[in-house]
Amino acid sequence: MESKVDTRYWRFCAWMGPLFVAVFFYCWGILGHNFPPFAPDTPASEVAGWFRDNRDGVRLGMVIAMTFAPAYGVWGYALAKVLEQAVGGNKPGDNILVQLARVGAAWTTITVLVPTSFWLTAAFRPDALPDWMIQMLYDMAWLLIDLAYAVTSVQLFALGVGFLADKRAVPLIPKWLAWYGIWVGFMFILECVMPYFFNGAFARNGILNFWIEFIIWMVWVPALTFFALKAIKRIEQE
Amino acid sequence: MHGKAENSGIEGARLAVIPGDSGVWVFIFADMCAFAVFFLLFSVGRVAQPELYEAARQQLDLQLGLANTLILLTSGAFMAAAARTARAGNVQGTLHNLLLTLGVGSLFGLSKAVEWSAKFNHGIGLTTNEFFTYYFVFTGIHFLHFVIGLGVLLVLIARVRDISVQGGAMDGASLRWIEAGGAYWHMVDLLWIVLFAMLYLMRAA
Amino acid sequence: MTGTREWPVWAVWTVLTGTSLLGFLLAEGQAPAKVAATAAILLAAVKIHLVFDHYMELRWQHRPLRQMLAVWLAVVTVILLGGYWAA
Repeated sequence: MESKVDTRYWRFCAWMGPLFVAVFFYCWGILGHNFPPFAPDTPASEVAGWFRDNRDGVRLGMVIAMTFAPAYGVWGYALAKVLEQAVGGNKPGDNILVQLARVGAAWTTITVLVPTSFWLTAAFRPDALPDWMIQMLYDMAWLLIDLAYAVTSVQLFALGVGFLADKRAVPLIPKWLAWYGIWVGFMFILECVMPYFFNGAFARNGILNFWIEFIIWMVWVPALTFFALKAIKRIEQE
Repeated sequence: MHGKAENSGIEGARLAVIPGDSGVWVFIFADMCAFAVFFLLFSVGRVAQPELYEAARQQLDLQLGLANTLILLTSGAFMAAAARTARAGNVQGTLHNLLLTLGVGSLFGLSKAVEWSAKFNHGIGLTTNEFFTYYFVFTGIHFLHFVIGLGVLLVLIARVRDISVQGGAMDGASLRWIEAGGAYWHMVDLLWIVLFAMLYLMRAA
Repeated sequence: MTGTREWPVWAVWTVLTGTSLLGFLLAEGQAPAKVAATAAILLAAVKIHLVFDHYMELRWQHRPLRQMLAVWLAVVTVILLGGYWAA
């Protein structure tokens, strides 16, 4: 590097990733009854009843989740800055992988924001809504957040392939983590069968399409952050 | 991969992406663990409904299952041969073996298409019952791995062909690519070995 | 794993093909179901072991990876056998 890289704010932005996961897990997951979700074959009356009883908690959870949704995008941009240093070259910002990593993170923010607004709608005036409508909002939100997987896969693949291109003897981000991210992006494809199932492993609350899919992604964020923070330190010393 | 490659860092990606380096094994092993979860789900489901699983199993075409197996095993043998010829520095032999790997392997796509369309024509689909849900999802995901493997093979062939056209020698990076691509292709192969035994051959008493 | 000697590719292929045919014939034939199914699973394990050693060339990879894959194979074999015998 001819001139020193300006790494101000990078750490702050990188910390937004784990912060997003923690906030989202609690507000969307626990307060919103999404971790784990209601099984698709749960009677509409049960889902609607739960929303009527817990409307305040859901509203609080979704409002905070929506407020923190951009944190994922901010984190993604910090990762893209590290990626720029990994791919190198004269104008690394123009590298298509860097751009895709950014836009994948930005798009993911949208796919978090929009479904959370559906759950929020279900909790807004649940007494005025028939049971089936609350169930429909709940379904719609889940179908969107799961089937938008490909948007996040763009980010996962771009970061993975980009970090593999690092020519340093000791790469900024370990190769195994780059490969892990590519694998996560690939595994998301299981979500394609989710709309066909009301129970079992492939349903939205199933062992594969919920537990494994969400956990492998939620692990990837803090793991990548940990190594990105170490990479930022190295970039400053280079 | 052309044009301004030297400035964009993509050229670096070509050299460093798929190595015999240990990173690729993270992908392979993670993938194998995902399949191990699939096998566990199937086994647990089978314990709960053995009659249903057996009745469904009898609707499978064992001969096509065997054909699938032999195709992949033969393709895998050519892949293993390719890695060995590459290590020996034999560019032409490597190219031929890779082409045979691809050619024989492609037949798997054909036999899967025949098998699946026969199922669909009999009104059997993803949601027919639990056995067929697992059958279609597992073989479907496996098929996706197979298709990606074909892509990897095409990349390897293009790379070795370039070396062959330029009259060059096998270099270390190409060898690592071939070894890593080969490891992936063999994974496709060995996952099918388990799927074949599990879905087709476990005849109930 | 199976020693350090490298088998000729087509010797490996012959064993793999032979065991596949054997598993198939047992499943199709008159052999008692439990024998046929157990044999099919064990033959699959043998085949995968051969693929690990001679096709994936794991003999050249470092030990932790070999051990991880050996554990994977053992776990998968137990899952299938356990599932079959528990049913």
